[in-house]
Amino acid sequence: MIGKHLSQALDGPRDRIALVYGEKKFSFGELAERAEALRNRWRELAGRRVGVAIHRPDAFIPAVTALDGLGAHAFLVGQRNDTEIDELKGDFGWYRVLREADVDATPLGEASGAPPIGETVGMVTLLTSGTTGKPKAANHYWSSLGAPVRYDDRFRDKRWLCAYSFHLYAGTQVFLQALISWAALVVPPELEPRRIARLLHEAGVTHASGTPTLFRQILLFGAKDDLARCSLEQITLGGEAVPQPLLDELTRVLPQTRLVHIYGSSEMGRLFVVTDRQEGFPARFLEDSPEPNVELKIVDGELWARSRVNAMIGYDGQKNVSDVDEGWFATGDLVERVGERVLWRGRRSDMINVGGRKVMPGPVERVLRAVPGVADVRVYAKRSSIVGQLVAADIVLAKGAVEADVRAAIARAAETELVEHARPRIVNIVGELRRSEAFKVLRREES
Amino acid sequence: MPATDQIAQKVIAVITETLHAKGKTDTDVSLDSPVDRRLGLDSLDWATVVVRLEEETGVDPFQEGLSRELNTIADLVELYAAAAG
Repeated sequence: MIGKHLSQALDGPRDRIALVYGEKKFSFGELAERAEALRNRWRELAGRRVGVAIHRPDAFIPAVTALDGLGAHAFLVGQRNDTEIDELKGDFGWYRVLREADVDATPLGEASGAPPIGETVGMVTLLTSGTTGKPKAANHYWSSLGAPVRYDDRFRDKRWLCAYSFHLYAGTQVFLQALISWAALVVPPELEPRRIARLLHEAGVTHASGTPTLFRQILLFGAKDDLARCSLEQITLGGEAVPQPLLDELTRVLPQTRLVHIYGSSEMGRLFVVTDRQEGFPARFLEDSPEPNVELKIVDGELWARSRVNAMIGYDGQKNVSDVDEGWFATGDLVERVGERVLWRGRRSDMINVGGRKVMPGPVERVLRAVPGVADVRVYAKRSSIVGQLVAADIVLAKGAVEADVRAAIARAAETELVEHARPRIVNIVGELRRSEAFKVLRREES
Repeated sequence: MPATDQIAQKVIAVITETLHAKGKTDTDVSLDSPVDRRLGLDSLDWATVVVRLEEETGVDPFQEGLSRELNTIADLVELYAAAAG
């Protein structure tokens, strides 16, 4: 699917800019020629299971399109060290692991003689992050992964900033949307908020995708002047719950910019989109989902979903998702219906267990974030030999805030607004919050 | 300063800070102070003290459970001193 699509660039929009990465620009023609050369060099990979440990976008795009053209099964590895990659190779039975050096070592001149793109459908697998043990491998076809993506002539002249790595579900969506529409992808070489704020303005980004954590960092630390001068038509948020204060601040700083929250996962694909600038999602989605072939329900406070189009085929080596629980899938996201709205309450795995009493980080973070002098906050479990876990908080101080004053204010707010076991017992003042490679706040237990 | 004295200072300091954080600023903490509810700390407070002391001393003598009775802060200091080697 993507292999065939990109090869059309050679006869069509070959000079259109496909990718802006740092100081470099790549046309669709250049990427297509690189993909052809790789398809020629990698012909032995036809139909094979292959690990793709490639992160540089100008190498990733030709690599995955070449593999799709060969009907290979690409496992997107992400940021892992060599030891982890070797383990995964054994666990998943990969024929080979491809790296940037494999792409860079292929001269463009090898494009001639490339085998024709077969009719075999290429598969792609997303490895979930998982907190312990072997990651789960969510198998997709490129066609099903790209099912939510629509070609629209209006997107051709747009510039899509993708702040997700391409091995993540959200990253694949932005990459596919830009590719299908012959639009330009802008990929920041590093997720540094100030640089991204500048890039949004200098690269003429019209559509920016990233996590709420990233955009909060951009608002906190990026130059507001750069943001105000952007031509941003749309910000797409995903990967985490989107809090109301962030939506309000983005609206204030960028009043003309459409705000979109996409909820989905590696397993279920895109489940729904929220555009009303309110946190959570409308309760009516439970009865009447706006996304075709998607159904939602709440079971014991957890959101379950069934998707007939965008979902994975199944976990690698396991039954198809449609054959388990009649296709219903527990998302791991805890929710609460409040009137006509369903609000996010955190990941089940983030729950803090204080001597048997459960605390979700989200509501605690909301209380602390409202304390004057607090710029940002991360609430997580701290291991305790006495009660199992305690609530801990890392605090980033606002500019000019006095630590002692903020600590006192936090203590007062906690006493007034939180039950005793939910009050953070360990409060650390930090320069920045710990984040995952996907630029999500990390809330795993710490010892 | 002998190691046990240093540990005693840290234990008393952390317990005093924890009491102050609860608004109990007039409690005099010494090695003779009891470690039961008379001191004014509940189970969550003690859990906090243990985490803080692990940060200060590098040890948590409660990880494997507790095999001896603790009556006073001096007993607690002895426990930490033994764990710290």
